[in-house]
Amino acid sequence: MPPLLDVRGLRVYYMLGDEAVKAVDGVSLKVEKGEVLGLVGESGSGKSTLGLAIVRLVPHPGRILEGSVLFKGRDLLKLPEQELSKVRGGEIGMVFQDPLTSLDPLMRVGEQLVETIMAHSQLTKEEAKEKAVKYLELVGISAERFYDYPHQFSGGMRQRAMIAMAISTSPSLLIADEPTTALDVIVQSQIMELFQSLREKLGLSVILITHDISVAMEVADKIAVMYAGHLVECAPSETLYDSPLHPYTQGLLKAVPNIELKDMKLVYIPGTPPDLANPPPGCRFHPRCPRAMDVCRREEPPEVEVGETTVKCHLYR
Amino acid sequence: MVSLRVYILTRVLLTIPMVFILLSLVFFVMRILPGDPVIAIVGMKASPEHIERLRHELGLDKPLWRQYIDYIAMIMRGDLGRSMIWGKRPVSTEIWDRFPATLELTICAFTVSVLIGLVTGVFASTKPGTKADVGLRLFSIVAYSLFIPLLGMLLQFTLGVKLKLLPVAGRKSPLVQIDRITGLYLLDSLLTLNLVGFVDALRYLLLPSITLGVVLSGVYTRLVRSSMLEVLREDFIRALRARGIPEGQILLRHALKNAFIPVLTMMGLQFSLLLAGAILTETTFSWPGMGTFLLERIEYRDYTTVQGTIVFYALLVAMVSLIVDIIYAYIDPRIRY
Repeated sequence: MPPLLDVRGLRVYYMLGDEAVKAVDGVSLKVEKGEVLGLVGESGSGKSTLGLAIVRLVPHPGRILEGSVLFKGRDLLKLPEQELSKVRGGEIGMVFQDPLTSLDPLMRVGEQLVETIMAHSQLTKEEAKEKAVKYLELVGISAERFYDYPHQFSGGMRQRAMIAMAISTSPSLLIADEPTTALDVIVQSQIMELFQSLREKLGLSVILITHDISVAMEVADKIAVMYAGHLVECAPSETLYDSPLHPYTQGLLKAVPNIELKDMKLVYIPGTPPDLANPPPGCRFHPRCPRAMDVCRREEPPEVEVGETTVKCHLYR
Repeated sequence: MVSLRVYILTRVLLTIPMVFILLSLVFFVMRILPGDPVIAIVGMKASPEHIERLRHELGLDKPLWRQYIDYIAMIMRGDLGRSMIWGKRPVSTEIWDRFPATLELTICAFTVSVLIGLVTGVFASTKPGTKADVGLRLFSIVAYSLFIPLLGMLLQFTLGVKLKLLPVAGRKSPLVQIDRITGLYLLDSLLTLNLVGFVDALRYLLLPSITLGVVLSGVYTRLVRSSMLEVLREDFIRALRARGIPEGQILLRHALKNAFIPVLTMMGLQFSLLLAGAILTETTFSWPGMGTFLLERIEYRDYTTVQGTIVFYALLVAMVSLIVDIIYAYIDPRIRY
């Protein structure tokens, strides 16, 4: 069976004058039905751009130059705008980082939910309202808050409302871009639990975009690590945790505090991510890589399959 | 809603000192200006006795502080007094005669300008940087800087004189009868089911409304455009798109409503300004409104009429700004009084 989502060789550049910022540069990844993919990387690694590019919402001056996004066998990049807007919010739900600014401040939360449901179904307003209340309750917001405005909601509640909107149209894929970053730790874990339970109840596939590899470890089946516009490693969560292959992934994991290992020293990765307008030649990680070889400076590494892991590194050729 | 009532009451009470200060200012400034109504009417060549007698009749021979107290006392009784020149008609009657013409023109020109501004502004904001956008911005600057009599005369010449489509001056044909209820011809003719009167009044209104409306629309085009562009960059617009909400719905139901607050502020200011009469438009189209009226009375130093009109305006401006504030709260639930 083909995967639910199959991204191939995607290239998204931001055109700034005569410079091109290579935010996503030849990324391929697959999401199976019912699978949670954690897309991990630091700020500016291109993970959010990748998420937006899947539904063609890359902001100006971003341009999708190459690649294909096969969703249920259709290439979303070739779909006419009108059909695509049925996929957006319909078959692919999205949740964004900042719930505080992601709702229309002048419209009641319930009405925004009704609007979303009605945009993707033939329901009447009353039926849509009924459904909206049901979904609000599903994410833990009581029906009497239906007529509240966004500013009357707390940050966590707003994110729950966003999630309710994203799942109210019964999508098969949910793209959640840093859904908990703007929230405090307790609310964060509540939202993560919500994701888990929704996934079990609705059989939803999720792409969870986060800079926090430990968050991804908790919920994801598979983790894809991005660095400077490249997908450097992709593996099942446990495999990645137990035996990270790419030096960057190894560095990331060493930088995560672990409560069980008392004497563990946190090690950070020296240096800073490269300027994506002029990325270094060869492997983009080589200036910061402790195991860089000559070939890394010259040639872009190929994607190598090692067991269940796909890694983009010269070490494993 | 209790707080809103308290707010409205406070605002209404606050207009009292405002009107009082304004009135005092106008009272003294009018008297500082050289000349007085008597001289303005009879001229410098009249005999001193004649002038003295007229001054006495108008109470202008009394000490200034006495005149001031008398006037304030009269205002407190709700009486604006009588005009100092010609028929010495009550000031309130004079205003009642002239104001409906201004109000009618204001409402129509205002509607024209806001409609043009909204349509062009929203359209330009959806295509920033394109030829259409640049063209509309150019139009808005040209419109804004157009000299009203020039545009007015161009329209009069083409649509009125050459094509004979529309009348060029006045409020209605001399032969058409419209019974006066509110003084707004369109409304009165509708209320009396006078279709002929309605069409006639509308034809007379078109040219001045379009002239004034086009000139004023430039501001709205620019304001709507920039405000829309700002809102369209916001996260919730992206979130709406990601939820597959149709683009037209995003623009009109979400973006425009959010972009409307600064536009509403401008609308309130401009509406108040227009109520004071559009002198250039009134002059160009011989429109019997407040602008030409007030100018004439200032020239004649008709103290009571000028003072009374200013009080009337002050109350109007206060009312308009209060209404605007209430609309703010209606549009934006985060604004509470």
